[in-house]
Amino acid sequence: MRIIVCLHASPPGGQPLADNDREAIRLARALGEGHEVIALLAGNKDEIAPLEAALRAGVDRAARVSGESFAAADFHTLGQVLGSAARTLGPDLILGGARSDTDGLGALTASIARHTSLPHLANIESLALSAAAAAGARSLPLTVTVRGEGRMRRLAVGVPFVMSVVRGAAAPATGAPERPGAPGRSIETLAIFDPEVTVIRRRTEILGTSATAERPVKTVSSAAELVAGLIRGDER
Amino acid sequence: MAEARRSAHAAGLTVYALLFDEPHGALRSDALAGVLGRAGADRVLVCEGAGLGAPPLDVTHGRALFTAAERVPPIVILFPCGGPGEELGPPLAVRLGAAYARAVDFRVSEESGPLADGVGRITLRRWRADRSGYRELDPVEIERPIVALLGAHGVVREEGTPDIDVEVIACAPAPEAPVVELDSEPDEMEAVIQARALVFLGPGVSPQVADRLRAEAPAGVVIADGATAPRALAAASPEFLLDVGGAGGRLDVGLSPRARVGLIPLSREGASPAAGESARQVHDLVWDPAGADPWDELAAALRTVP
Repeated sequence: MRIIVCLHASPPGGQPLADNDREAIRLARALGEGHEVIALLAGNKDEIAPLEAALRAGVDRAARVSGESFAAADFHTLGQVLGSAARTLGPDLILGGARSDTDGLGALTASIARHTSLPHLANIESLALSAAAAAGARSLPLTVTVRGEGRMRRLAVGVPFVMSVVRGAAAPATGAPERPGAPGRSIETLAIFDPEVTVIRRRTEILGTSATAERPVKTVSSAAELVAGLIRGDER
Repeated sequence: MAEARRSAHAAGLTVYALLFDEPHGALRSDALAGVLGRAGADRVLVCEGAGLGAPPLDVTHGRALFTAAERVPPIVILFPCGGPGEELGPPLAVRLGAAYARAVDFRVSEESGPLADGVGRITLRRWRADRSGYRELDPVEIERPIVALLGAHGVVREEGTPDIDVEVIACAPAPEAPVVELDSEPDEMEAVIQARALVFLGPGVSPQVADRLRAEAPAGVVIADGATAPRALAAASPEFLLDVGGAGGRLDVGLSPRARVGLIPLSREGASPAAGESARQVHDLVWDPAGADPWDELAAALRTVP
């Protein structure tokens, strides 16, 4: 199985891989040998820190979709770029860290699914090969866990699929152990030649306009005053 | 429903309540209209289709939701905190070419009256990812709808009327989805996700104190700690968060701009943000017990939370 883990350029001063990105790589690697894990990022050559970190975290390949910086692009634009690039790699499974996109919205993988015409599942907390897959059956080869509507649900899913990953309670706090870079594992560069993608523009307007948060910190002298201030519920 | 009603009343909007159900299911009833109408809906849309009574996934319910959204069409689509919004919201936004935001609150514009054709002037606010400021979304300005997940706040009121219309939309069965539910169990973290008052205990709080606070906390206060699933914390969007021990910016909770955040630093180390986290400190209130045992006082104060 070929698994793509989509990454996003990290904000200035931020960690190259968010916790959910690390968890996506860990889950992909945990499927075992015989599966190829490719980290994919759209951005310029100054934004490859997440790909370098992904190689250290154990992906087999790392690829950058060349172009301008997409660090502040909205999920529609970024999903179009990454989806178009992912199609050229022929993935069986596309993973992405939930809320690892611009402003932590958690919508990037849905956009990738749209632009790859693949089904989407949000916020999986576990990923494993199903017993049927182990027996050679390919209809629903994966088992995932999702949380919602007050239930923890275990689902059998087919491939190809796009999923966002969140770190669940069972995930190790530090993610997968890093491994030294293997010789020859360099970052590949992909260019988008799909003429349908020439409409790509970096848009930011649907992220909303920036506004200053004026929130003075008030020091209180008792727990009662603290809790009373919290439940006051005044509008800002 | 109450939040939508509040904004709709101020901006002259119509509130649709949207539900999924099996064909000829039990939801389409006078009781349904009564409950949702009193809660604030002007109309009810019921998407009927085979399999739509199951817990919603985009692969099974997304197309029906899109069909309903096209029927209206809305300027804002709201999901409640803890509902199916994280699963259904982003794909719907992608299909609609809409903006998407989570942990939002509403603001009604101070401009007088609604715009043309009854389009109200409301904006939605959310924190930027680094909590350095807000992002404001105005559906009129961006000329596209907004799909949004609300925080778990606001006051539930019954200000509507039960005398509203229920419209049924017959949805074609979803194409055979490549997903089968194997089993499920109650989610013990659901209380955290739905919490309106969330207290997070950092590593400086002993298990004995944690057990005591849990035992004494009123029903409206949920106590979380390092053992709480990060996924549940991130899905939560409480009305207030009390950070005991100074997890601060390392605490990934879906705070809306309306939420208030309190801090009880238990040690100098815990009170200090790690490098690069200073912009994410969003505490509104700080109480430093300065080495004294704060637990009796804190337990008593938490008992006042309604």
